[in-house]
Amino acid sequence: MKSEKSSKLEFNVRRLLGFLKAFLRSKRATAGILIILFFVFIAIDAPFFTPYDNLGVDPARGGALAGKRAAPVWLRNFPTFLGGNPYLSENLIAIQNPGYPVPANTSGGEMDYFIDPSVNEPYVSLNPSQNVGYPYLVRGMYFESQNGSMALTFQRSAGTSTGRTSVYYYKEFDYPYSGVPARYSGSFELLVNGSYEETIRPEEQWYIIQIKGGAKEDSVGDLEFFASSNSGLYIAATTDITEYFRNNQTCWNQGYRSWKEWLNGTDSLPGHWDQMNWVVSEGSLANRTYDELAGSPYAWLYNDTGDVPYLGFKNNSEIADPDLQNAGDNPDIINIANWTSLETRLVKEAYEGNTTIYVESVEGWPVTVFNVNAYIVIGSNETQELCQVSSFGSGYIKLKEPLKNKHEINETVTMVSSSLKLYSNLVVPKKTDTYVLVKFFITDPYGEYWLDVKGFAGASIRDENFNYVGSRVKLFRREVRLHVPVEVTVFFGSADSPLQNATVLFPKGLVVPNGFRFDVLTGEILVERPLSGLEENQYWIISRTSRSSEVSLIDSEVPDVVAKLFGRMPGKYVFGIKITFIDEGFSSENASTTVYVDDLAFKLYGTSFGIMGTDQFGHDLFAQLIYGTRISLYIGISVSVLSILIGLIVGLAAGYMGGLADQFLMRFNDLLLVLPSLPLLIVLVAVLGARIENLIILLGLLGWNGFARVVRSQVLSIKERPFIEASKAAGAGTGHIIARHILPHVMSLTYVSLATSVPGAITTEAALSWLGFYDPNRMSWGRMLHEVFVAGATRNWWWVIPPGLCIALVATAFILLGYALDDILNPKLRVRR
Amino acid sequence: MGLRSFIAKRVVYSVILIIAVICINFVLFMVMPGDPTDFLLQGYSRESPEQRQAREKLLRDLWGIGDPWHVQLIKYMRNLFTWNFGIEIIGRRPIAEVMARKIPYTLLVLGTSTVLSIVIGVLLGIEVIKRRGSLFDTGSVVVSLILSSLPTFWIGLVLLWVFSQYLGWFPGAHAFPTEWAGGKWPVPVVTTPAYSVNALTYNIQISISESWKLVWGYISHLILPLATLTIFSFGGWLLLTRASMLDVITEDYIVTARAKGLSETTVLYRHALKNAALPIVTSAALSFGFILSGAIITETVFSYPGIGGWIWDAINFRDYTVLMAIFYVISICVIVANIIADILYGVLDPRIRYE
Repeated sequence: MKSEKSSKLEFNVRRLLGFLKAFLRSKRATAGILIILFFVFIAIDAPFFTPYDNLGVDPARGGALAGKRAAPVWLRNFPTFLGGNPYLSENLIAIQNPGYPVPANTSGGEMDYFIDPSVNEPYVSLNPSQNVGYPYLVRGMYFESQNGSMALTFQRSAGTSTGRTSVYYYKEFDYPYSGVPARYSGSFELLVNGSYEETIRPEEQWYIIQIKGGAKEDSVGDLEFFASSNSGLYIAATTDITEYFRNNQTCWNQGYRSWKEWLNGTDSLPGHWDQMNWVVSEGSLANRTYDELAGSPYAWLYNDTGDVPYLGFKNNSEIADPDLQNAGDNPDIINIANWTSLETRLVKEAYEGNTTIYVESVEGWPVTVFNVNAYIVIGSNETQELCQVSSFGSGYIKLKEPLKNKHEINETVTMVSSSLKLYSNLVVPKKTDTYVLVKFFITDPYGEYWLDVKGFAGASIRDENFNYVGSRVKLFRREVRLHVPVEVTVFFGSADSPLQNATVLFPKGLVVPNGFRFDVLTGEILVERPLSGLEENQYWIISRTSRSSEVSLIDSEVPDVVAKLFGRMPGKYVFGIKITFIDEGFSSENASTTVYVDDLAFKLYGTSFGIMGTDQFGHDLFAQLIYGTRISLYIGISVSVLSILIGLIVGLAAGYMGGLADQFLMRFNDLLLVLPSLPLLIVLVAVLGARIENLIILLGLLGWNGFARVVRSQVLSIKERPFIEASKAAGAGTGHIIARHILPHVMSLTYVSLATSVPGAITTEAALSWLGFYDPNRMSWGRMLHEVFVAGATRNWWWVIPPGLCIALVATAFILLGYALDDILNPKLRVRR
Repeated sequence: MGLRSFIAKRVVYSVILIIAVICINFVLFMVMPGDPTDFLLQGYSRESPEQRQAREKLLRDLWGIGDPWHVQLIKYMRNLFTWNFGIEIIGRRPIAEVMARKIPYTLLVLGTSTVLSIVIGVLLGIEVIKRRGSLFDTGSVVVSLILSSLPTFWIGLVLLWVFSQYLGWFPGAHAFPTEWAGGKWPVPVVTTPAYSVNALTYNIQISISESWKLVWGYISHLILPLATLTIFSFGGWLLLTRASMLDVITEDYIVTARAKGLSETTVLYRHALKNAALPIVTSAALSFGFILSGAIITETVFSYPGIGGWIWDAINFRDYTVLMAIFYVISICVIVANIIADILYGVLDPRIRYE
């Protein structure tokens, strides 16, 4: 006697087996379930079928995989009348080992390498062993080069200049296709280093300071310049030229190209010119002239006309400045009455490495520093140091860098100021702009000067051509010239007649201010801060290379250009660079320049790719199709489950409980039926966003209609059966009756509807995606068709047909499954076919 | 109960339904974020805040956007019942007039395709029943299934490609040849609403002897959208006919009719079809009700100037006066169709009206 549980289990197992037998016997069911399983398998194992991600992009590299709107590879072999095209090309990496271009001589065997140029040219030598790992820049951080660089050196001793010397690095490769590529793309990296010559000249610089008025009210402030420098800076003149702008008589109206030219051409300068002499001087704050103070490290200022107030710290008695003498009356000047003399002294010892010193004035009063960006000089002659102030309080001063020497008590602390107040209480009316023209002289070639315009929020500095240069400007004076600059030309084309492509001069302009950096790809001189952590002399002329993306020097997608270079025949082609050393001038010097070439790469993107070709971005379509399976199945099944669930609950409740609940639910049902579903759906998706979860919920909420009605009618007919009445008589509650007695009767209906409502969901999602409401992170079949339209590629049948067919196949499979289930589970259909 | 009281009940119920739908429409568009004033004010980005506020206030007064909701609701209901749909927000054309000119196109395409697909579906369905169990039966069922699960735009795309671009037999866009519009057909551009640039009427100069040109002009542009929709829908009718005929074929009176010696055609059409017609007729009535709402995709593929394209533009530009008007009209159509379907159901099947 088996226990009840195990006999029940046995019964269920047998029932299931019977169902499976009937299921497999039906052809439709087998077909349907096989197709569905096939797609489920593809969906789950998608990464196995394609190495690209769901948008068809290579996750490691990104970017296009081949030409845009490429055809599938097999199309080349297709007969023409069916749409085949024998003139398709594929991707070709012309240079198989990008990176270290080893010359032909040094390797035995395969001639895969470049031509050794040093054989022919007397002054040029090739040093392949000089494996220089030069640094390159990725987002502000420096990395060592991955591959080595081949060093090509031009060297000659003092004597005559040798003119132009060219060497060629190139490689021959085979192009086997009879069609042009969609795009070619080549790049390389260069470093240039060589002997150079520095020149220094006095620099006169003009700037226009523009201060924009505020929107709401006038602004009042001090126009102050801050220079952090330990060298000589001489402000020659300054004037307020606002009137000039206001009256619109700018120099451009008079045909001048820049303010400088205009100023040189006018006799009387507008505005109020002040001769300011501001030099950075050493020692005590004495009234020194420009000549005396040239080259000194400390700053002070004086005003020799006495008109314009200033800010500074100096020895009162040495400057005749009316304002200063009446310090208490004049609100312009910061009150320095607290300083009875500028000499303060340390009240505590300060050791090496301290960053705080404690000071008081000679009279014993506590000292407050006025200018945070000031410098102080501590100590007597041997231990004197110049320190920059970082912050201050009453009686103490914090330094930016630790002290280098030990200082005793009572050593003097002298304040030096390095800011210049050009105008105090300058009023800038609202919504108008004020312009001040300033001229600077730089006396010390090795210094660094920064001009910060402070005091106004909207102040900016413009150069003499009125181009914006910043709110903080660096004036620099050192010029460097390479003895032998380099010109690089890229050439490629068919082996007998290659065409020259891009030519770049390194460095562009041949003069590198401050000897810093220039862009390797364009030769443009980059004016930037010196690199920290880099030895100054080793790579002072350095290239900027970016490894974060594929940077091309030669690149074209223009069909005419590409066709001109490739023609329509398979054949031999070359790609290479020509490096020309321009040795003209500097003949009295020993000149040498080294060019490091690295990472030569040349790639051709074909017009065909993969099994299904590419979309308009060059992304693989087959991958998109494969991953689209996931989305479609996910959405179809989720929506179906959700809407069936809701429909079931509503139908059961309405059918069984009847009365008010029934009326209410059915009227609600009618309402949903009457609203136009597709426009409503579009409106809701447009508003709520097209994420997949939103879509599932919306489709589920709009789709329970039909099923609820059917369930309700079924329940209505079951409700009247005697066994329900018997159950009620036995005392069963509503829940029990619904769950144990009614539900099993509607289950067959439920299973069938689960299967048949999936296609509707999939097709609606496809329609919405096609209209443009898709989740941007996911690629579905409907979205693929949308992209067809967007790319204007309706002629590419290999793109149009597969997604639609897949949708139809999956939908049909589910419907077949549903019909088959219906056949098996619905007893009424078993009678007399 | 009787037919009359049945009809009366349905009509009363439908009126209540219409009012409920109107309210829902209203709530839906009130609640939606995104204001057409945002779009209209786009071009004025350089003005000062005061100017912008003044302009917004003007727009709101004009469109009543800022009124309290009950005021808007009353105005809305009154307008709808008097068919005063107002003006498009973006294109500024009177909505009723535009609708009057766009509905004929939609009716042309969808009405014809519905009729065609019903006729084809039913006739084919009966043929299938004649040969039930054969390969034709299974084959047509499978084909209908596949065709009705293909997305409409895909069918449209394929037809477009084959017949318009590859073979060049039929034009692929618009309702009539471009020459009639002076050769300058305004191409819809993404950033501006297309319909604001279209003229509503064109003057065409054609002589009487060439009036076939007029007819052929319209027809040639109609064929591809018609084909798309018919291909997509006839499968459903075929399957429906087949299913309901199957129910009827096994009844006893069919056996009697055959035994009496009637021809198969008479049996099928006179006896079986009449009884099986009920679900087909009611579905037909319902699908006529959905004509106006069902064309968005096809009209977008073929740039056909009907209601569907208009809905699409209105959604893109948040032109909700247009949307409210269209939804209202669609709802009325559907409700009326429902009433007719129920009446037909009652007329054809006497058992129903006595429940």
